[in-house]
Amino acid sequence: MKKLTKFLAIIAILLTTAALAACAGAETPAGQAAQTGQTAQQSGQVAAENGAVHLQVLWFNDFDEGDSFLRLTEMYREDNPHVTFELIEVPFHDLEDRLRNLIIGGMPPALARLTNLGPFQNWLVDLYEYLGEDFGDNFNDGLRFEFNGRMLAAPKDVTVNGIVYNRTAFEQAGVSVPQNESEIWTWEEWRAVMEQVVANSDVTYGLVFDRTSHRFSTLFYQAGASMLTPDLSASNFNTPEMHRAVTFFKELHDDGFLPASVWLGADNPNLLFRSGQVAMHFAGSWMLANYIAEIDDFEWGFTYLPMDVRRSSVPGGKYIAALQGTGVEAEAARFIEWISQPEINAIFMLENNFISQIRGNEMLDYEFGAEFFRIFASDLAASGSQPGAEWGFQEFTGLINVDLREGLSEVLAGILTVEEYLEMMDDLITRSLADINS
Amino acid sequence: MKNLQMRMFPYLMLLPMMIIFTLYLFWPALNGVWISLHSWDGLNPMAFLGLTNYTQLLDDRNFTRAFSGTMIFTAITVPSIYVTSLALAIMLTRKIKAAGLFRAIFYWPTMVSSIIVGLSWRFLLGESFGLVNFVITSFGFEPVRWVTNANMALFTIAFVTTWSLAGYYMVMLIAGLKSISETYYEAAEIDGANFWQQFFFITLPLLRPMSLLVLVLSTVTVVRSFPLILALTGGGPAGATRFMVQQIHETGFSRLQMGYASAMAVVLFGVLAILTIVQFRLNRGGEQDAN
Repeated sequence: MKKLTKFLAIIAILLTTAALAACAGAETPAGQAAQTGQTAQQSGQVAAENGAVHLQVLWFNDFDEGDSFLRLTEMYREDNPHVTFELIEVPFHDLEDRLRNLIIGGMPPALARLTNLGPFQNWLVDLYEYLGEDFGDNFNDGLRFEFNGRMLAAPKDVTVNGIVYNRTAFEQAGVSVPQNESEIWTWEEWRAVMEQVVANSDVTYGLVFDRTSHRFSTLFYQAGASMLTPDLSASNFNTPEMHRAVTFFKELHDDGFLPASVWLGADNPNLLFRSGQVAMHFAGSWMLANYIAEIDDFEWGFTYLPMDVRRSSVPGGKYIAALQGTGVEAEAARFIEWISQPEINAIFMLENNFISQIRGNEMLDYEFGAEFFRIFASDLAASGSQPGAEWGFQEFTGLINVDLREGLSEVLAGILTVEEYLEMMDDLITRSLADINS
Repeated sequence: MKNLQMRMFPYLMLLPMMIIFTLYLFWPALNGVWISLHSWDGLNPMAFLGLTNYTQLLDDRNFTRAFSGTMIFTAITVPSIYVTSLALAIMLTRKIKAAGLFRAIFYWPTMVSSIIVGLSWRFLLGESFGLVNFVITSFGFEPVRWVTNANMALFTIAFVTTWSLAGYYMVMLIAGLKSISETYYEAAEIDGANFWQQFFFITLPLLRPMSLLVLVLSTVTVVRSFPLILALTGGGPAGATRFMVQQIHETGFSRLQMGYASAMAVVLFGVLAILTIVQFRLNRGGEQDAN
């Protein structure tokens, strides 16, 4: 019995460690994180001898724009030979985890490409401090970069949710997409068109829809709904307009316009569209470079987003930010200033088919798909300010993003009713706002 | 003095391993318990909450759903792994041709990364574009919702998990079977015992220590399943296959609630400890039946 007790004790200890290590292993006490400033300078991040500066850049790719970025760093080095760069490329879904670990590990990178500044606000360099408050004037409205009077990052490129279609399938079916704003479909018209395309072409499904809250939100903004009140102070989720948007999305799945394997499974919508078996992909402007390089088997193009009671898209984008506690904040800020010059920014935008947020780069001369950029601009201009304001409130979206998506999946699976989902989200949003304000 | 040295010697030999365990296992684990008493986003300063995270777990439908899902998945998968691996082990310890080849074939899935296993089966079982459904529909049948129907997805991952792990436990059970003396079976045959009588009255009782080991290890492995399920179903449909470890990961790294996720991890430990103790009790600590 004694032996058994000892054995059980050992097993229990081992199991404790095994079960907890997965969670705790990546964590460091906040006290350690507070010492980041000193440890970073001791970590080898800074190579300041003889004026040499080493800038680590944490980067993710939509396609292969990292190569383009590296070419720009070489241009920068022509006038600044004392600066060297190191690109740490990570998958997008690992980006924030990796940055968090680097920060709490005391080795923040000098620069990071980010889409969400919310969790990192306390760790980003205030660019106004190094570049002056005029620096913010270089950017158009769109992506929010100023938080509590501090400029935490420079917007690099703007994205806009959009819809790409299989032109070959549409031609097979004898259907054309809207050619101008006056021809934009309502979703009901779109549904009728999809029936025609699926029936008369090689595609199996009408649409694949990226499995993200951000993409889905386009539908509810078009329905006249929003997550928050216009002043962003209270929940506005449980409304008839939101009910209609969620119900419509469920009907699209129930009626077989959308394959269940994306929102209820783990299929990649990008790959499904590229396989040629889907007529349309609800994604966004960032897919342009990917599809130019990857689709050879059929013709494709972007078209206007269908509308409900109003037109809307949702803006998004990427920033480049400098991190505190690296010892090279000033050089990192100088590089951000350099790369944000219109002529330098234009190189990156044109090579990668991105939309710029730099003043003066609104209308670039893209080699491919100039008409698509006009469509993106049109969708964005018709969107109003609420989508950008809500998704720019990143402290908030970080708290509700996962539940918004997962709850919607439960509605599609019949686990939650639409009413239950709206009540659940309304409650979560109210609690999240209370947490933010406490 | 010599006596003291003799007493100290084993502990000195254990010291390097204990240092490694302390640094990489015990300390993070204790740190996890500490974090579970706080609100923390993984980056900014922690705020002490006491046991609030634990009391919140009781009202959290995502947690209770993941918890009950994990228990159901374990209840299906562990017996399935044990039965499959035992059947394979018995088959391969009998005098059949190319037993070594079959042993290698059955063991092979355990050498493949669980992510690759998940992705491969997703390629085969994808509802809209999977190979199996392609074959089924080409014969004029309706496609099967392998991973987009909640019940079907549960059985799909139980099957794939069994497929990927059975070979590993098969090897352990083969070792256990080979340690049973042939004389028992010879005596039983002389007494006229058939295959099933030999199995129930000789093999199973004498295999009890190894069976306990297989059951404990497979339970711990199955409860902590994560990469394979993530690759195969992503936790879907609608969270039907989102089990404890994925829930902990999502809570910590997507919702940025590290303290709350740590509380879940502590509960998971408690569950594993209880399951292990119950298995020990039921198997009488793996002791063989004296009769």
